[in-house]
Amino acid sequence: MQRLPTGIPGLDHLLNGGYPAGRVSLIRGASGSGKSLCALMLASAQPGGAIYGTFDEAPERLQGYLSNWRTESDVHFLDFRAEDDLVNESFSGVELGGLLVRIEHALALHDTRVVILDAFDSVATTFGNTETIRRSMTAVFNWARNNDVTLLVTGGVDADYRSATGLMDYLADCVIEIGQAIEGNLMTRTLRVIKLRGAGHGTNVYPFLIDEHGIWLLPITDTALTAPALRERQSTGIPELDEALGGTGVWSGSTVLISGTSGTGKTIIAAHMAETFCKAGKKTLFLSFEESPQQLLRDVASVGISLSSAMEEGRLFLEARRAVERGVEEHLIWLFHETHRRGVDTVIIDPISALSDVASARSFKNLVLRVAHQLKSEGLTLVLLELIGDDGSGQSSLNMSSLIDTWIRLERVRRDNHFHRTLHVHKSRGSSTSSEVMDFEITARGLTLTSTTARQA
Amino acid sequence: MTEKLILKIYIAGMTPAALRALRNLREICESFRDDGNFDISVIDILQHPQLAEDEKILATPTVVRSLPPPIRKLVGDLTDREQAILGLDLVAVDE
Repeated sequence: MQRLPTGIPGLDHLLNGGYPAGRVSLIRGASGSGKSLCALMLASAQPGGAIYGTFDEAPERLQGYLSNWRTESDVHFLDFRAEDDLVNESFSGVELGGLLVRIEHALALHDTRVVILDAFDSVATTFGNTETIRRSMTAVFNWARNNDVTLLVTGGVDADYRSATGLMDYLADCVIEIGQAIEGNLMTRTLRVIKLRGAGHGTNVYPFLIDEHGIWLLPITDTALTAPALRERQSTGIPELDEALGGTGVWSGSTVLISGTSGTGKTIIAAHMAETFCKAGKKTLFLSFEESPQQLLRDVASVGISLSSAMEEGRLFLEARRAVERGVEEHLIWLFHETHRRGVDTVIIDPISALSDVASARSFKNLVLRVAHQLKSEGLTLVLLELIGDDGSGQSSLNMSSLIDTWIRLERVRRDNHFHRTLHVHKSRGSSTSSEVMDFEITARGLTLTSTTARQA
Repeated sequence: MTEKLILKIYIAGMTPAALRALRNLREICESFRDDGNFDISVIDILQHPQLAEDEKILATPTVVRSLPPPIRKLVGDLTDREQAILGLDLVAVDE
């Protein structure tokens, strides 16, 4: 079976390569679920162009959406909307004689074989006579099959309505349903491939995101393809820490957790790492759930860390988001989308624990797992900061040590009537690590780590 | 003397519904213009697809009253005579 690209990142993967060429596909979903956007993205991705028949939205409006994502596209609109001035007689003898005539005319005119009929089922509302509509739809399906035309139809979800309009699943070779799920007060858009005749496909409900760049779906890439482990070390920029990690820093492509209670210096260390990574020519995405970019830049500048030049050079991307703004899934999709768009090597999340506020314990753990797996499979370095509660237990709530390659723990200990910041490497895979607890100072000149043995000597 | 009634009927081939619509339309015209002062152009969109595109014809048969104003457009085979007369706004031009 020949496939065509859907133009929706992630969906082609779900369909094992794209949607079927020369067949009939159906996207169904309730109003507002994003059917038209899906259809538009698909239309604009067709290598040989597409005819887009709209029964609901004005072509000018659709063209407007389209120009947000694509500067040029080979999409030709056919306006199948009912005219306002059309007088509906009793509809006896009405046929959709203009439908195929206009489609065929447009196909010949624009030399393409892809046809999209968006919100076709709304003609039933206009012309009332569902039997006529059903016959016309079946005729269009058959015409497409017999003429090697690739047809995509969008329509509603209601089963009665579908059978009345002929948009029935069994008529189509590929059926995709899109919907919305609400958890808490946050809405997540979902997509499911219900059927793909003659081929395997992903069967789960997958979340997707609509933003100014279009539609994004998880997984974006094939998670089965794991990037080869990069045997390369990246300096953290703190010589003593590099040393404690067994030589010259953290492994590229590894997952690093820095945990500590509030005020232990997690952000400072992460910013220092970001600065160093960028100086070494890496691209880094720093996602802050706590501070605005300006605030963060000011705070780290006060201890001698300058991130602005890396930002100006397009190597550091500082993004601040509020954890409660979106559901877990949307944060996740956005993150993956952003890493792809920016082409970064390293992702720093400050702190990942902020997302535990918007998710149940299980979905939070699931989220961290998915972030770590996805980024690792793409060979990206991930630095997660974890804020540990001040309840004194000092326990990591992540409780997923198996996932973490390197775990750096920060603490504050009381000694000689002073609180001292300390740092130790709790674990680090593939390295001979020092288990020493080091004193860690933040001064206007930067960070210093002092071996406690040295102090005692 | 009445103003000439100019009508267009868009059909997709000579289907039974198209034939019914034509017959009904001619009968209605003859009764409202017994002097024969009317003109019906039959446009088969199978032969002229660009005209269907220009007029955004989806349903067939579609009858358009071009002149005299008001311009009216209606779909169906015009079996319901009363509805068709109303739809074509022919009461107003009756003598």
